[in-house]
Amino acid sequence: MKYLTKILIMTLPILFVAVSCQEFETDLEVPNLENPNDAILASDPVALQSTAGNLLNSWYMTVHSTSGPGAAMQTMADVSTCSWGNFGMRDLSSEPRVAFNNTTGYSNNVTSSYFNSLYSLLTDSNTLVAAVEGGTDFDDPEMILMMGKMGQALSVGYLSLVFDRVWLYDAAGPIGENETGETDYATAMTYALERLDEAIAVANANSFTLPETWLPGVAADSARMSEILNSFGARMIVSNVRNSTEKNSIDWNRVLNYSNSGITSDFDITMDDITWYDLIPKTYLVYPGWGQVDMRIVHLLDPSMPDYWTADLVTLPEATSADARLETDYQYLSSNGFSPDRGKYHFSNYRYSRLDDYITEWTIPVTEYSKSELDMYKAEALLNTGNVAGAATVVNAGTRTSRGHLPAVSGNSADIYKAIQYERFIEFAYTGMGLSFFEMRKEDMLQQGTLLHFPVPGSSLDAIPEDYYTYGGTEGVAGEDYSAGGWR
Amino acid sequence: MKTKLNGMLILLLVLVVQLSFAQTNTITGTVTDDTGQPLPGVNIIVQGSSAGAQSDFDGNYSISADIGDILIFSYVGFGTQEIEVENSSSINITMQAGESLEEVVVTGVAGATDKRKLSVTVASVSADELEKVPATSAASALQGKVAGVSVNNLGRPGAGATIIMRGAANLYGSQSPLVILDGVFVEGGLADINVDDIASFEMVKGASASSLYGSRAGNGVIVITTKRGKLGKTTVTVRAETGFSKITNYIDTNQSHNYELASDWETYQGQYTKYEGVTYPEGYQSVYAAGGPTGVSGSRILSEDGYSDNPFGVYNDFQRAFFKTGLNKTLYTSVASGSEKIKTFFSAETTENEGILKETEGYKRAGLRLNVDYDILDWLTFKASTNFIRIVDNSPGGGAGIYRTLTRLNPDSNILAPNPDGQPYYYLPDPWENEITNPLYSLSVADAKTNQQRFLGSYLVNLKFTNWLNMDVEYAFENNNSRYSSNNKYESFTTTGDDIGFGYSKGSLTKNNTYDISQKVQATLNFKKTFDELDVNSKLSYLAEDQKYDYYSVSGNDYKFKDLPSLDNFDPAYVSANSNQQSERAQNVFAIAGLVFKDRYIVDGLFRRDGSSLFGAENRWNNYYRISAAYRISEDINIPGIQELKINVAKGTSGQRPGFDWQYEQTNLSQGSLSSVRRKGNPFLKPSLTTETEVGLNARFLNRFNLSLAYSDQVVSDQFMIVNLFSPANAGKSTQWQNVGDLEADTYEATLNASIIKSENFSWDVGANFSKSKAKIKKLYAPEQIVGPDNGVMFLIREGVDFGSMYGRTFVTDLSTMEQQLPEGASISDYVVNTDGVVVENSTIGTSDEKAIIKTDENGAPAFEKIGNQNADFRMGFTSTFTYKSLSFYMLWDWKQGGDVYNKNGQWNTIAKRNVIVDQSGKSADQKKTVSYYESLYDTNNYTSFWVEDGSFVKLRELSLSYNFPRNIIEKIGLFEDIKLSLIGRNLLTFSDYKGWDPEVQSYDGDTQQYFAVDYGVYPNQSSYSMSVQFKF
Repeated sequence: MKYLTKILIMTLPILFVAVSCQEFETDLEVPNLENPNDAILASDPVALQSTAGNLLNSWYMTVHSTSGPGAAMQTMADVSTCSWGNFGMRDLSSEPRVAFNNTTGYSNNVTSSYFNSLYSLLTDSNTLVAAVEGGTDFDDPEMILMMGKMGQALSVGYLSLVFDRVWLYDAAGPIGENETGETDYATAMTYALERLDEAIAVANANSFTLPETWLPGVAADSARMSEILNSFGARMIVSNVRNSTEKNSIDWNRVLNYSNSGITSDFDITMDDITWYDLIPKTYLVYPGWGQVDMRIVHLLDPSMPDYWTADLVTLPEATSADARLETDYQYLSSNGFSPDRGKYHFSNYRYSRLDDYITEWTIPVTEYSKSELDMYKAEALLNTGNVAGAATVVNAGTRTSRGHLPAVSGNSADIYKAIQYERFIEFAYTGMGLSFFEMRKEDMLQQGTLLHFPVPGSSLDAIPEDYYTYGGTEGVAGEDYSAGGWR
Repeated sequence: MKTKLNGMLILLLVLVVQLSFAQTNTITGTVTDDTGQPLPGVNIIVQGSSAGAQSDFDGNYSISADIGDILIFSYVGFGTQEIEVENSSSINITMQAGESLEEVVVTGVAGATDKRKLSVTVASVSADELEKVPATSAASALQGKVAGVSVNNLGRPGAGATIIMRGAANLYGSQSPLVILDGVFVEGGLADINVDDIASFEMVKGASASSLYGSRAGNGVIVITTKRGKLGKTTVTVRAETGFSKITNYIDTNQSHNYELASDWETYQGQYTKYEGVTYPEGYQSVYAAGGPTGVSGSRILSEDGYSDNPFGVYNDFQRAFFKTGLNKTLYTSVASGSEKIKTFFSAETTENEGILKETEGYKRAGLRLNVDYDILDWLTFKASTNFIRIVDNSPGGGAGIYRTLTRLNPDSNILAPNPDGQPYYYLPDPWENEITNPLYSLSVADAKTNQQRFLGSYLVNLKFTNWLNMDVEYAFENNNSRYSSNNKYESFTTTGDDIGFGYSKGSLTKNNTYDISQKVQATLNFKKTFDELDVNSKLSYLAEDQKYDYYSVSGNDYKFKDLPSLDNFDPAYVSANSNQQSERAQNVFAIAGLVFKDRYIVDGLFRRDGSSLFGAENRWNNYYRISAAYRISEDINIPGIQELKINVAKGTSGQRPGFDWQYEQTNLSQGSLSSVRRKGNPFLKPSLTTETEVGLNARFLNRFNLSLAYSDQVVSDQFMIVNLFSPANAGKSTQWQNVGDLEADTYEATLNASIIKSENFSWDVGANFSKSKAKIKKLYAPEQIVGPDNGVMFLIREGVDFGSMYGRTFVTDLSTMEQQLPEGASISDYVVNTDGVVVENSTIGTSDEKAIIKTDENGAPAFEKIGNQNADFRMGFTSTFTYKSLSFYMLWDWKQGGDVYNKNGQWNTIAKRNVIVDQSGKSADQKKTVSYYESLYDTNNYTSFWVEDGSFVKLRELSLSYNFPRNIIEKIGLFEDIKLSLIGRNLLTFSDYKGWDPEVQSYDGDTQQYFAVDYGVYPNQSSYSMSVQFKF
């Protein structure tokens, strides 16, 4: 009996443990229920469809991020000016221009996240294309295929625009002559445009509409997507050249074709300030206290204004301009907050105020690609294919007159080109990433020593492994890697 | 709380009184120690009953008992005696100092072990040491007290402190030790645990001693035991402490500027600074406006000489406006009681710590503890330890940036001006800095707090099978519920394109909720037997752990209706949510055996096997071991003057587990979008492996000195690190957690305690502890990295480098270096070392062309060099306790020698020319330097040697003056047994050359999950002064 009692009492702790432990589990195989795993992402039609829906957001947030090169490109182009060191704005626009710090120790790294994000976009796009081609059971496989091809085009295209080298691969592995897939920016852009053309073909041959969340605020049926894709074709082909010599290699007929099939109204995306927002150029280059309008641009609006804030200047009065946009898009700054000892060349008497609604409301449509931008590619293509009058017609029918109320331009091609470039700097410098930089690069206008493209990020070189290298200042080949001389 | 406490006291009282009526005889007597001195406070109970008494100041006692009853006399430090009541009504007892005088250690060993017979190093801190200056939480209680335990306060109330044992053990991952409180693995930190409850700390600093805790013990282990009920009468303790905290030091800032003043500026003194070149609106109140009627027009004109030596029209002292003297209050009550069958300890504590930020309420907590011990049968005992804590933690507004902007504002900024709508503290108060908002405004509109509840419970059943074999079965858990809410009201300002530069934000609301439960079940067989001259202790144990974490957060933007902080008050399109859930499980088994032969030859060995869900799937189980030995030389060899001499050597392993999501091959999902910057999973990830060899010596000599020496060599291999991948070759994934290398730490420790004077009325005890650690990256199988807080890139992870080394740019500081990088056509004679110690062009001194020159490498690029090291050369702590009759005076000095701090605040403030070094007023003309020169020192916020400062300090960490009311007064007052009055100071004095608020400063880096010595955005440490009164009855 005594032993029985003892045994009974000895079972108490077991009971006690059993009662105490709530949901006590001991299985060491624990799933992570927060994120989709790679196997599912590669095979499950639901996951793949979601990935497709994420592609354009991923691209947008990458190119409009403060971690990307957009802000620095804007200051390097002397379109915006800012003396703050953030996002490489100050270092890369310092005068005289210096080499980009491409070591992992640089605190204003603006390429690493951009580089890696675009390659993850390429990977996702490759997976989607392979899934459709492999017969995955999608509700609308052609729509997925178009998204995949578009993702391939935008990822490789935006890598080509920014870096000296690109690695090409698809779901099967590296592509091209080099076994690693490494290629130069020009070859890579050719690849991107091929994928873009395939995406256009899919959009043209089919009828579908993207779900609203994939591209908020855009009635994105296949016809509209085809217009958008064609427009990107024009942007990427024109923007990819590093100097005026390379400009001669642009296939202007192709640009013209893209332009003729492009958007007929601004391509606006509605921001929600949660998953869709634009930090560069629309926030930090226009926010009070941050980026201001470079005097080079103020001078374009009002030639009586200096194009450079020299050390002896104290204050500048309000500008006057024949262009009505001075009043609607620009705000006079009566004083300068920047510290003069960080370089008075950062001073300006104007900020860009056209986006004040955005930086107040945050949840409105913003323009990613303006009709005016496409018009200017078309006009430039016409100009370069000998149709000077056609180019003038396009320019005169556009924002130059509708918003700027400027007189029609006519005459020689130089004047017309000047008007095209004027629109690029005045009308849509704060829409897509780097547009002014690409224009300045194409025309050999970037200041002496400004890098023409970025090196592969130091952290990626570490991983290859490869020695660090960089461009800018006097690093690289003059005229090919850094500007041999520009507007000043 | 008070009502509950009183009720309990009355119940206990009734119980005691009721039992008293059942007795018949009164036994009286005197208790003395073995020298014949009366012993007050000896517990006397009647075996088998709850009746008890305590000896008075003269050792006299009186208790009712029947003939045949057994009286049990017990007192700390003396052997317990049992005396049967016979015919005599007088029993005098002489208590014998027993072995229990020697400290016993239970942590990391095979069974409770006399400290003299330990073969590994385990340090301990007792309640006596803690109670001299009760720390605000258990986190900072160990500061300066233990060799090899480096504790750094985090200034914010409720934030606690960081604790590193011996050297750094991890390149990535927390350096915090495992904390076990009454058997509970403490996951929620020590900052909320009150010190009044704590009976002892035991610290297992190295891996050899901590092997018993396997893959959780790579950073060492702290075992905390709380107070429990004791045999004897009920004792009630009430302690009330109240006082205040204030910032230890204010930073000097530049009180001058470098702009031309208007000729009539003096007319406007007291209103604003009137600059030349600027037109001011009517009624200008020295605040910012982008334009419009309140805006200025024109630009300031740099003074021709470039010196910042012109006066402002208005001077405000922002630091004194921003920091306040904050109140601190602690009220602590405990009731301890014990009979042979049941012992209880109950406590209640409330602490309020306002902190030193204006408009901010700070930290409050209230805790309840109940520890109960049941002796159910002679072979069955049950112990329950429970602790419930409620916390309200108010978050300061404005984030980390407010500490910088506070010292960055121009002195004429009107931070106290009202806003246009009447809200206090003008939003953009600096006339010329539109990028910075008013830090006081940020504090005043903050409506953010965390409400947290923690429950820590452990329940232990012991089954005694025989005298030499018993079993513990324990269940312990910590449950942590935390709710955070942050409301920005509709009218809170944000920067806009409006003329005045700001407008209503329309508000936002974030609410999040965390639920965290960690549980463990452990069954341990304990074996303890003596075979002739061989003592054997051993354990065989199984331990299962399960931790679940569940978090979600919901945010809304743009309130639809004002003043309704509800998540329903938003357009659904502007509401977003995210969540996180994690589960960690482990199963561990271990066996340990300790052998002591002839009380002098000691060996100990253990083996442990851990399986954890955190280990990569391909490395799910890992093994740990220890082997250690000690020899008590003094038992064999009689050395004059030496009472005890022991040497020990130990070698063992432990480790750290990977983080939850490091192994999974997944892509992060947030707000419905896949992350674009991706990390590759690693199913091969192993725990880091710490292997330590320790040699120690312990001696007691001249009857008054205790000395401990230890040397530890610790190698932590399979270090965790986030390694960069080449994304094009890795499916777009750019990083991965990998096991990458070895970190080796050498530590020397010494502790000396002495009882210098010990007489009837006067005693003086002193103690000193010393430690010196150095951690070097011995191997790195991955590309080097630079890490640090706030995207900082200064702390280099490179093979052969001391961990914690700062790397960055340096200015040329000597002419021979300058000679190596002379510009073309220049001569070294053109250069000179200036008064700041940097090389400049001789002809430029005092001009705007004077510039510090960046040292370059052979390619002409800025050289990347070691610029500092955050690790201290050594740390020392000194304690001194004088006791004269009823007065006691205690001090703890904490000395940290070396250990650099990067003064990022100072560097940032130079950009706005507010750093005091820029102030040239009062300097002679030949000493003045221009703002351009200081701009070159700022170096565009690059990490530069100029901003590395020596973080050495000597602090008077703790001080108390206590008065124990003498017995005769106590007796006159009645009711109380003991009254103690103390004046207490913490961090009273700081001696340091550091130029920031306090050299004890650390910034957290989320990537590496570590703290670094970078002074930026950190709530400064404080000095506090308080008075404590403690009653016992």
